[in-house]
Amino acid sequence: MAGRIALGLLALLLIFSCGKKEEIGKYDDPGQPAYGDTLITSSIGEASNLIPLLATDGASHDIAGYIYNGLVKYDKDLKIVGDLAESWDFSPDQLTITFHLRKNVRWQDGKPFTARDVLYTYKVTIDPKTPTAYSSDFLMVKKAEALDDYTFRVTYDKPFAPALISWGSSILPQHLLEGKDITTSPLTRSPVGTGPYKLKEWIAGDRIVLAANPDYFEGRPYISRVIARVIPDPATQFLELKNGGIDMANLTPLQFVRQTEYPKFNREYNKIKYLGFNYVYLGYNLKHPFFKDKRVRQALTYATNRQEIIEGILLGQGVVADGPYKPDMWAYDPNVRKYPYDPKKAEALLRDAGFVKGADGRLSKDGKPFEFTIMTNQGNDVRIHCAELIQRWLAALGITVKIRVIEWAAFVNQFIDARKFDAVLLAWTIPQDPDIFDIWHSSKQGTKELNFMGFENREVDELLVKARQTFDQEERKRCYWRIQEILAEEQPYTFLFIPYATVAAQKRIKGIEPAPAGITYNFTKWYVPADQQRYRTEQERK
Amino acid sequence: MLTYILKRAIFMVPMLLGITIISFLIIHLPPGEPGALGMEMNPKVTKEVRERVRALYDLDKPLHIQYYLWMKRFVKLDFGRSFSSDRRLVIDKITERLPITISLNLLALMFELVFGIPIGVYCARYKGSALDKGLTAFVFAGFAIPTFWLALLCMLLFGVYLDLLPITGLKSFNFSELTFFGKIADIARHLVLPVFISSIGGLAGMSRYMKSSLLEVLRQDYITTAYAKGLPEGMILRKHAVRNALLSVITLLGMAVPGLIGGSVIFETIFGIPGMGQLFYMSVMSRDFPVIMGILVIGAFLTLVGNLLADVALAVADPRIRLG
Repeated sequence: MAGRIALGLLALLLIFSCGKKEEIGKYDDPGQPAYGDTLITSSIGEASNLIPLLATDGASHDIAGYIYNGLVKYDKDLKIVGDLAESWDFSPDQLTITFHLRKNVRWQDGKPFTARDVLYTYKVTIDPKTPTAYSSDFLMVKKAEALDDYTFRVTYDKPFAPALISWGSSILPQHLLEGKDITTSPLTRSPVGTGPYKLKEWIAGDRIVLAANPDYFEGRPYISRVIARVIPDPATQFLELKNGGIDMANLTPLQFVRQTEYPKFNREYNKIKYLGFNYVYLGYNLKHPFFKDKRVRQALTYATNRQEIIEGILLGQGVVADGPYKPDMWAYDPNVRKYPYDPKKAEALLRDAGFVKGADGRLSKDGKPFEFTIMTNQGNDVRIHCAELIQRWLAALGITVKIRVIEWAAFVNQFIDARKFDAVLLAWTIPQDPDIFDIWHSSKQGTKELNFMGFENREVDELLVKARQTFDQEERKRCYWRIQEILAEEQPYTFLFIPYATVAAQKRIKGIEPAPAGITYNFTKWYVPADQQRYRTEQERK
Repeated sequence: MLTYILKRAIFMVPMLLGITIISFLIIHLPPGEPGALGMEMNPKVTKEVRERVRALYDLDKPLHIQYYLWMKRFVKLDFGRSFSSDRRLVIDKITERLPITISLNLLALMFELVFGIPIGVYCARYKGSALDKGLTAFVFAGFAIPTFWLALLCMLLFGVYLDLLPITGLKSFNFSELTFFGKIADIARHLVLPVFISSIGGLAGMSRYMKSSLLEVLRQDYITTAYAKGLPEGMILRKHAVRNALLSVITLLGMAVPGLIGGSVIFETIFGIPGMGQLFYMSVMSRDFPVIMGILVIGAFLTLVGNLLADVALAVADPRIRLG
């Protein structure tokens, strides 16, 4: 028996001892760009469908981003540049865009890329049988035609500024898909694109392995393989990062500021931050009798100490938002009215609006006490903590705030859609194109539409329409700056903050340069110097 | 015996039918619809798109029609296609994950049996000894500690601090390049933590069951008789006591059958293991009704089969049931 136990222990020891990671010296030397090595990332959810037209989840789009190209894309400063299109020109009336396509591009199966692929992508997107969420921009097209193999022309009924970037959608291979049912195509699991990486292996629920496309039209990417692992638990993901099992991961503010502040981690990882593409806001139901008065909304913004939210909840990893754009975008207006934390001013504004303080210190108007509920969705602690801080500040003014946290689907269906809320604490994505028609135009108040606050302002309506009907950036900028002035004055939301995206990336990976567009815009130029490469395939070792 | 099995099997049909109706109703109760979740609050999704997707999934039809459509496919053993955007066959999604969950759970079950039964026997024989108390305390602690917490602690200790074991997944990134024995070692290293963590709870149940039923048996007259006629103690335990005490373990094993395919949401999520528990969790979160129904029905079916098997096995092992 004892012998058997000893044998068992020995076997265990053997299991433990093999396969330790090879130690590689310093990563501080920037070195020379070299081909090779593997970048391991992870995500909480698994990709579902690698035809991006059919997928609505972030994980699918992240993977598809490596495999496909659009006609145009955003560069690091969020300017539109060519991708599969070399150039494009507008007709004088701005109704027609003519794209001139690259001529040296091949699909990953070797067939040449032509304007027929673009035409097919357009047609399948607007086909009513295609279950896609992304047809609305293409439905505004009046006519699309392939003039020859490398010229593609679209015509619109009226000028539509977001039209150009809508052609940034992934272009699909016509020769593999035309005439077939796209929903059951094998390409949903084994895609063929024009992009820098191709799918090598997909182990369901576990990982997706991408290999560099040696014939990529912008040149072979330096990093040879990308492995996207599925790790559903964020705590495990963080442990795996500390353990060196993944090379890049998003961090929470707490992880970024505190839990990774030790020498070994700093030896192994670079910590990178850039402004995220979203803002968190407290939105008021403008049909609510108290919130109809803009002085009340201004008062609530004055009463909110947004700097303290950033310091206390985000541990400094964010900036105060004072409008729907982030400060490094061209559409951002830095000169709008600001609302620094000022409870005195808030009190004065509320007094002007007709609120009186009772003997118990609570505010009321015409006998009705100032009470309202802030709703937010479950599973987002930052939002819940924000609501709690706001509750405290407003209590000091004599306003009673209740907080309700509701599961997402129920929240949207039963409260937002039914307009049954006083105020909500939510976030919007900041679009790269500044068109915000869907959120602020007064016509967008139907069920399932996004102006659920009920914001109505004639001038904003006109400016939103004007701004999406011109391609002139200066003109658009003037419109959006005026819209921001009005929003700042009206305060339909208390804009709270824009968080930083906080990322840890293994130090051997060079060439990461945070910019307004984030970090992945130049992924194909990331590299690991030859002497710092960690994961080599058998082939590369020989 | 055969008629008994047959009768039980026939009775399973209405039972299964009832289970499908209840499951179908319950999963349609909470708000939120498949597909729509990905489109909620998305400015690019128009009303027409929304309607189109609902029609595609038959969600615009009343609930009983939806159930009828599902049932019509189900009687042909067709679970339909997933509502998630991959539109894959439900049965494919399940079969690609089933082997992982089954083998993991079988390993864990073996671990429980191999350690649980001896611990139970020892604790029953030497009841009240220091080791009995120690073991009892240990298995109870294992039972009481939240699995996810223990899992994280073990990952932190063995993975991050000692760097002995991989933390997540089942295979290393370079798995395909390893030699045959390298592959075995790689999988074994990945399995150590999940198997240990997932069996620690069951270990307590198994050993307690074994202990109490063995204690019961040891009080019987025939054991006293065996002692009286001077049989060696090892033989009494092996031949007379443990055999009889194992009957309750068989019942326990029958109940473990559905667990074999159900998998555990918690430890599969924490260890990043692509098993059934994870599939079920993700399907529930995305309201992927066909997949949820598929897993529920298969699980219910296996529970019924497991109970039947346990009863049959009991009858085989225990002449009193078989003959009585």
